[in-house]
Amino acid sequence: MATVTSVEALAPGDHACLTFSDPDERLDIVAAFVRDGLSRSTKVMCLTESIPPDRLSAELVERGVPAAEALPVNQLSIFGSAESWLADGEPNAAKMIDLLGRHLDDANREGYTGLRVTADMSWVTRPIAAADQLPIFEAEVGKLLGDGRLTAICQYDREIFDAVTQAFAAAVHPHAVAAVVYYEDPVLRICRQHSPPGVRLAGEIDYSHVEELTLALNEALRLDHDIQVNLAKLRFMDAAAAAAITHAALSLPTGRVMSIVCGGVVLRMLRLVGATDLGAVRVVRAHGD
Amino acid sequence: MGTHRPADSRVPAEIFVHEALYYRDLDEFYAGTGAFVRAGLDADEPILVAVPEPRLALLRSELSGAGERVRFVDMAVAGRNPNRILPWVLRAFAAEHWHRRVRIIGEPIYVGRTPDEVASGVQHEALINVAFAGVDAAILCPYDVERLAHVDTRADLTHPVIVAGGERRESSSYTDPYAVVASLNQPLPEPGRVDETLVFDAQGLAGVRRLVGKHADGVGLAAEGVADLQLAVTEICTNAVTHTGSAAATLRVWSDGDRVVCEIRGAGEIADVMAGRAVPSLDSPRGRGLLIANRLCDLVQTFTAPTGTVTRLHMRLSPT
Repeated sequence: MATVTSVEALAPGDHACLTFSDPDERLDIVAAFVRDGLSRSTKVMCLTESIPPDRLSAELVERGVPAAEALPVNQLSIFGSAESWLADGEPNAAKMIDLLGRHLDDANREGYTGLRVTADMSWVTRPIAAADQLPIFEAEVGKLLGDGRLTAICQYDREIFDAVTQAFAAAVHPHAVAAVVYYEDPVLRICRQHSPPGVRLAGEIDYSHVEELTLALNEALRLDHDIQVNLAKLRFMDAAAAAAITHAALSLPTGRVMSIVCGGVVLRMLRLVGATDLGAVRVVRAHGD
Repeated sequence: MGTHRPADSRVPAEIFVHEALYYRDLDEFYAGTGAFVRAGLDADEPILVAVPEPRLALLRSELSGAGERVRFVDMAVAGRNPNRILPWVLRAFAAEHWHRRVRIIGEPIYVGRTPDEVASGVQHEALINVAFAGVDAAILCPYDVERLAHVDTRADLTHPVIVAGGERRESSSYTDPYAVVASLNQPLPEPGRVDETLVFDAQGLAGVRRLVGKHADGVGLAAEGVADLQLAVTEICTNAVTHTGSAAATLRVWSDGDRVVCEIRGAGEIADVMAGRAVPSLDSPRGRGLLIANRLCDLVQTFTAPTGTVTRLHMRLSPT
């Protein structure tokens, strides 16, 4: 059974599954995985399916990953399924393993310390896909990982995989990566954001969950020099929650930055409590605002 | 002027000066405000002029020589809700110039104010004496005494000094500001019709927001006004179910002419007369609910007693 690991803690030779239901959480973890790979001089390969390659590179850039620099020099490569799983018309695990093997050899030859691969596994659910290729692929990847130069994250979307396949994925991967969730109920979710590092909130927050918010902010400030408080998906925030963010920003010594992604009524409340006037705070307008 | 200790002990002996200017026509308005501003210019003091149009534009052109040294604010906009004036206009200006003596002209009660706004304006005038006690500042409040003759402005109760017909005198009827505020703390008249009633507890605040949003949207309040009203109502409802330890409070919503009114009725008495008019320090975790409601709404009325507190938040459909 997989042990839950933070994406930052993955080491060469690790094989992890990322089972997600929140698309932001998936992109956040993929971005952190790519970012850490690039900064550790490994080659990075993204096999994408539900997100087109162009959009994935834009999403990575938005999350602070230097994709625009890494793509032209082939340290980072992004393949859609037409160039990978479906290059021959139908998925073939053996050919995919060959592709990975070639990239691993390339990485070696070009002087990189290894190869990081992250693969969106939703190709399995395509009408033409042969589901029998999935266990072959996962088993063969396991062998490639043996010599400690490859690190892999396989992405499984909870919305499209059945329970049996999810259980298989959990069993075959020694590690599972997931965002740290500080709080979750039907109207509010507070979790760690990995790239850029910080905290992400979704839903509606008021005074009754200030304690969990404060905990999340304090941990983010302990882990990283500058943090992002991502409130893009937050629909409502009351004065008490805004005051908790203000309090955290006030505790920052000169030189450290809290950027806050927000818009609409959330930005309005932050202005009303004075958070936006603080020297440490940078407001980043959320999309669609 | 005004820095000597007054004979009447009820008049605060302060570096703070709070005067009412009674004017009967524009000439008297110009004469009184002009002299006040010129004294400030001579002393190199930061000056704020917060009066409604058309006097704002008239005074601005009259004082055009002063250039950037005088800040002009439309009182009918910035002070539309009289409760908003102290924290967001007067104290904000004083805080900006905390190291200097400031000089402010503020006309909170003017022709066109509704009776409930006037009552709120009288409380504001009384509480200026509390908020600015010990602050190095001079505030002059013009009153159009001819056209406000039948309005209960109580200006001689709320100003230690009256300037009228070029004469300056101490107000013999100046009253303890707490007593003025207490006299205006009265049960609010029942509305003719109530559109929505909701009993809620601490778990029901999202439901409160939805109900308020639906009603305000339905009667044609602009989207930004709807969002502001939801923010304000949430803050007051939070106070109602958290400050008091009481399990439940009641929300009522109705329309009154061109206003949407949300009333929150909960247990507990507001002990601090400055609640909603004082700005807590930046790192304070709470104490902003009423302040934010005052900032966002067009009028906020409160009746508080040991048996409970009623707060009414008014939002106008047509922005001024």
